Amino acid sequence: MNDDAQIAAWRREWQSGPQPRDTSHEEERLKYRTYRQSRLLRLSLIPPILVTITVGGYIVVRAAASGAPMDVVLAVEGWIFIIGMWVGSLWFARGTWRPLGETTAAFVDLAIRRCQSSLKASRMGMWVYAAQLVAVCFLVSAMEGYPARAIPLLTSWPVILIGWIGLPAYVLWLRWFERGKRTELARLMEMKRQLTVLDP
Amino acid sequence: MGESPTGGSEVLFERLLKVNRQALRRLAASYARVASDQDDLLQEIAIALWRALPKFRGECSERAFLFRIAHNRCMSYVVKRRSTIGLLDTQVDPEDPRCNVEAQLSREHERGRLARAIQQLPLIYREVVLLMLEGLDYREISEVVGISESNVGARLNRARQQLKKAMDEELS
Repeated sequence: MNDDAQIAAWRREWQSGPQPRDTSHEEERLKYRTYRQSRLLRLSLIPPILVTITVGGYIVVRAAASGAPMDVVLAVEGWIFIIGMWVGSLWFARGTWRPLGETTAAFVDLAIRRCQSSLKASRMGMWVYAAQLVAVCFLVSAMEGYPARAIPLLTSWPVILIGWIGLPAYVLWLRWFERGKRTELARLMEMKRQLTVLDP
Repeated sequence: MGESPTGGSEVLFERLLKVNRQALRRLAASYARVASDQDDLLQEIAIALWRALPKFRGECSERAFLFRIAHNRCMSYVVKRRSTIGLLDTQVDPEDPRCNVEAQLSREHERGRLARAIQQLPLIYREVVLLMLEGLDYREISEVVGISESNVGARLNRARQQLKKAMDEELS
């Protein structure tokens, strides 16, 4: 059998299946889910913006309403961290929005960049979390009579929940997350190596 | 955030899905292991198509455009997931009296052999072979995969040799 005849035979075999069983409803389901998910993708951008507006707005409103120096300082400090988080996130996301080309190698490169970006961003998140916690404790203690206020502050429920429980939990999650990402990164690097060897 | 397709794009979206549904399902089945993953991948392709259609200016054929999107989604899927390639389901319905079960089983056996051989191919060969089997020509494959036509030819040639060897080995 020559090459063309062989390809034609393979093509016939290939296109003979698999036949979807449910042919009448599949397209409708697919279209419905596509329209719905497309809307959801747009909506998924709302939560981080909403959190920024809610938290950032709340600290500004509280500072404006009370006029207390501590609230003003906390509002300024809060916005510095919010802006820092956004700038850091966008900085790490550079070059991870779309592949540089439409080749397989470009997709693998993109996946590698995304993986590395996730690792950096999650590490940054942990430091920002810890820094924010320390900064708030320090400011409150300093402005309300350090060290007299330190013990009640450090044993208050929000600090226990967000700091003493939240931070270790976040660190544990981060270790698990990083391990998975590192495995994925190693797999992607191997894939990239294979692509280079096969298609120089 | 992507643009929303216009009325014309919506008609085109539905037509492209209708005409190419089986080809897209075969493509999804070639990259995803289990049925639910194949459904997810098919869904991702449909969403990507829906979002990309407003940007379609007819620089290439509709089919090449669709397959480029599908190929890109499949590549994204492959690099994201650990479990990728699976056997294509053979779906013989023994209850269907119109089926000549024996002949169909033989066809499915041959097709399974081909599918297994394809799954053994390295990714860069598998992607061009799958597009070739769906009937795309060299120019269309080069548009979809983003490589030159001569590179398509070279890859297909190597892929064909590996495919034939793998199929012969399974027989012996």
